Amino acid sequence: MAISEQLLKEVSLNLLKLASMYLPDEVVEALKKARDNETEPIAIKQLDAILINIGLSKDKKVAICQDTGLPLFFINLGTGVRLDGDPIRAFWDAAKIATKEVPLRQNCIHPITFKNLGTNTGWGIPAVHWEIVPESDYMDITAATKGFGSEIHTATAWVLTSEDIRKAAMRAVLDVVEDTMGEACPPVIVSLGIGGTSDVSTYNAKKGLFRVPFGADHPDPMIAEMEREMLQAVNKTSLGPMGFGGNNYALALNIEIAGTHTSIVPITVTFQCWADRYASARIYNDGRVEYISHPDALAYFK
Amino acid sequence: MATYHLQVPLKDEEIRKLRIGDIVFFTGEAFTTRSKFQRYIFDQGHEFPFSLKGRNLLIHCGPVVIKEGGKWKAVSFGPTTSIRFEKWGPKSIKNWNLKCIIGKATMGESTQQAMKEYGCIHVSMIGVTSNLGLSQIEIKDVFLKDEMGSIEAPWLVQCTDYGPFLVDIDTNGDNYYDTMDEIFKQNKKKAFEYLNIPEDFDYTKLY
Repeated sequence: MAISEQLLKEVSLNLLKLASMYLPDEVVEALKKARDNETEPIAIKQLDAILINIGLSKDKKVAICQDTGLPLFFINLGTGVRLDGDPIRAFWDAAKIATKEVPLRQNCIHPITFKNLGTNTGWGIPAVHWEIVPESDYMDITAATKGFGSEIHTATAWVLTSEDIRKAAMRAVLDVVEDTMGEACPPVIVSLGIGGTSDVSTYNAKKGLFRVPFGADHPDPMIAEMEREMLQAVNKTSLGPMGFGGNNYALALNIEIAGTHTSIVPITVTFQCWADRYASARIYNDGRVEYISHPDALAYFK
Repeated sequence: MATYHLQVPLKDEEIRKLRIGDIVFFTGEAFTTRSKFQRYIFDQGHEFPFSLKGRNLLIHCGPVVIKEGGKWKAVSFGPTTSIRFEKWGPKSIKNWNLKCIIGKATMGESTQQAMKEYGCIHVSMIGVTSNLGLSQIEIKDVFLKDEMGSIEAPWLVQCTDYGPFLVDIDTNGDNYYDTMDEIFKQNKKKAFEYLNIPEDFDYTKLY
């Protein structure tokens, strides 16, 4: 038994389509909750417009935002999984087909020559991040279409271990939010990668944006408590939806950690806009597929 | 906070009476612009590809478009981050006689200054919602598509009560974001207080 390249391509294509057109129910619920607890008139207008927009894109099967981002894949690969064919080709083919069929904006360019192949592929994009999971016979795939209005506000602070790290992390987040204001299209998801080398903290921050399921706590209660506190604190800034005032600047704040150097802790802060575009599925070695973020995925495409 | 339904070409006196926080809708022609087009015109000295007569509403946007039955149609069309175009903001306002720029968030000081001098405003779409506007805009034409590509090329669109937009820079030189900066500074204290962190707490910056 093995997962075929064809199956991987089909599932990846469905995930990219779902991610770009259809926000997961948990995200929509969080936005509705934000709407219900909002008191600022301008914020209520912003959230109403956002919720109508989400419904329109899902019903009409069109991209939620004209910046359809760059495609990304996060893979948790069980050691018991056998792959038949070229998985990277499957992801690239999925991005090419999604670009035509959704359609997605042709965003991916060469960083120096600016050449655009028109397919949202090329020069390492879609980026595919692999993690190996022992003793499992399935692969989890999360596809994300990452818009750059929020991406460009990613920043890393370096905090000495002589500092109070909790206070410093909070300070770093508020400083980055102050630089970002409404430009990341709030209500955002804020994610922090704390610890590791620079690459690891950035990767962890990015991974934290697409935690499945949406809104889940970190498994370590100490870190989950930090997440709750920092989310409250960020919302106390009253920047609100789109940064024009209100109670809801962030829908979630996630933290991922990694071991770090004895002298210093990198804290990477990154954002996802309210259009929290991701979709995930589990493919078993025997070819069974479960759509995790969008359980009605197959009915949606009929 | 008042609501206005404006006709393009936008009139100077109408634009000058708008204030930050007002809500506006537009009917008439508008064109999209991104940096490749501004570089093409201002840095490379090319001629503007169509008549600007009566066209004084600009949209910072790179749409998703399809061709259906030989006709262009937008499938996702929303204003994008305006600060990216700051370098050409004043020149665009002055040379193109703009009365309003539709974008996202804010622009810089030099554009703000030009808006005051030439009577132009900046507005952001409420919610930054790319599909809400689809029934309110219709593509009329595109220019330089081969040179620029479909994202960066200027698209000429017909707007029908396109909005709502929030005025965030007005002709007084007032910027909604400056007021939010002040609110943020006040509330940053509240956030620290909530976490029992002294308001002046900072950590050693290495560089």
